[in-house]
Amino acid sequence: MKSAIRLTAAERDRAMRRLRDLTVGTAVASIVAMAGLGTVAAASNSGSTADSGTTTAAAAGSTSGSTATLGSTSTSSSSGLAAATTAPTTTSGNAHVSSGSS
Amino acid sequence: MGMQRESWRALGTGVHVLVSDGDMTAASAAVRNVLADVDRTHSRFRPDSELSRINADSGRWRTISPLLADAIAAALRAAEITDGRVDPTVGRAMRAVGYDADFEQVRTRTDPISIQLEPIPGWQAIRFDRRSRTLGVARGVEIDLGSIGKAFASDMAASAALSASGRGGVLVSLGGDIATAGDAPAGGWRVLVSEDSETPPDADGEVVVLRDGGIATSGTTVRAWKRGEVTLHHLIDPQTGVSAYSPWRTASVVAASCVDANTAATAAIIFGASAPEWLEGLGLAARLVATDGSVLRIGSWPRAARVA
Repeated sequence: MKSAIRLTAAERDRAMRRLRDLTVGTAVASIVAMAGLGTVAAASNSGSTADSGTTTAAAAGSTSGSTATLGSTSTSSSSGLAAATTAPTTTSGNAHVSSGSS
Repeated sequence: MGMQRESWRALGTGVHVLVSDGDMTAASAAVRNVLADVDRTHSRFRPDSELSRINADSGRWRTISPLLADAIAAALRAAEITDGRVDPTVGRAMRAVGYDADFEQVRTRTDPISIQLEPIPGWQAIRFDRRSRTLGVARGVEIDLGSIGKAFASDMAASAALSASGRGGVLVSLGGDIATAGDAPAGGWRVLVSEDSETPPDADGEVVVLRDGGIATSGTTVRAWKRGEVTLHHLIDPQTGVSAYSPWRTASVVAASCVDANTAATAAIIFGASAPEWLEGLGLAARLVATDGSVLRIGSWPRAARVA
């Protein structure tokens, strides 16, 4: 048969303080975890990028190896496709290159 | 120094680099490096490419390379803007219609094909955190960066070439998807608008002049193949899962970047009859060729000065 553990008043108070600290710590950790999960969920929104306003130019800005950053010609955003700064004109001269399907 | 030019083949298509008043050797080397990186990353036909490995093992999260992250971001943006007409999840459908190898192999097969129609998963099946470069693709979904990948490479190559060249202006054409960077030469960049990107630039046809941005052409007649009695092509309509049936056989668009031009051109084929209204709404200059050969110019696209 087990005998009851008898604690002094000081030991009881210390145990109560520890229990309270643990309770508060757990609550704080839960709030932090919830905020973190919410951030991840928002960032990984289905089918879209975290930086949904990122322009094509910026999207291509971080490249690997020997590739370089995209130039400043693109001003497009996720809200729409951007027209060229200067409208195309026409000429009767020979072309430099051909644009066509490939 | 004037205009310099270099051409070769890469990524299964023709590459042309033009440099105006700059270092052609450095520009060409920069373009080759970009294209080699793109091939290692995006190719659907290289089993060792990053994209092939993702497609072969979908259904889990992974961190992807910066280059592929940029391309995925561009593809998802295109899908969002076009309301899913240009969708990167058509990889399985592309294989289903017979485009499962390098195009030179695909075009030699003529035996009838049995196509099992499957719904396209849709771009929402891709989850992507741009900041951490974390990609999650639903199990069984195959990504195809197809035309967007090529236009994306053109934009990057033009920018890299300009940086390497040091001055002047650069034009990069990758299979007819054309990007420019820097200063246009006197008289602008002259582009023959054609059905086929392999058409010699001095052939008869409509020539437009660009000062900036890019131009891209999408079509149903060039990257096309016949299986039995049926003609198929590489532009998949996400609503049907097979090659798009469109009143347009070719769509050319001028935009701020080659990616934007390509997105609009490809979407125009898929949009079909409503393409002119959609393009006008975006304020883009476009040229649509109907299946009967008639031409419709939209927005600020100029009237032809010289037509064959």
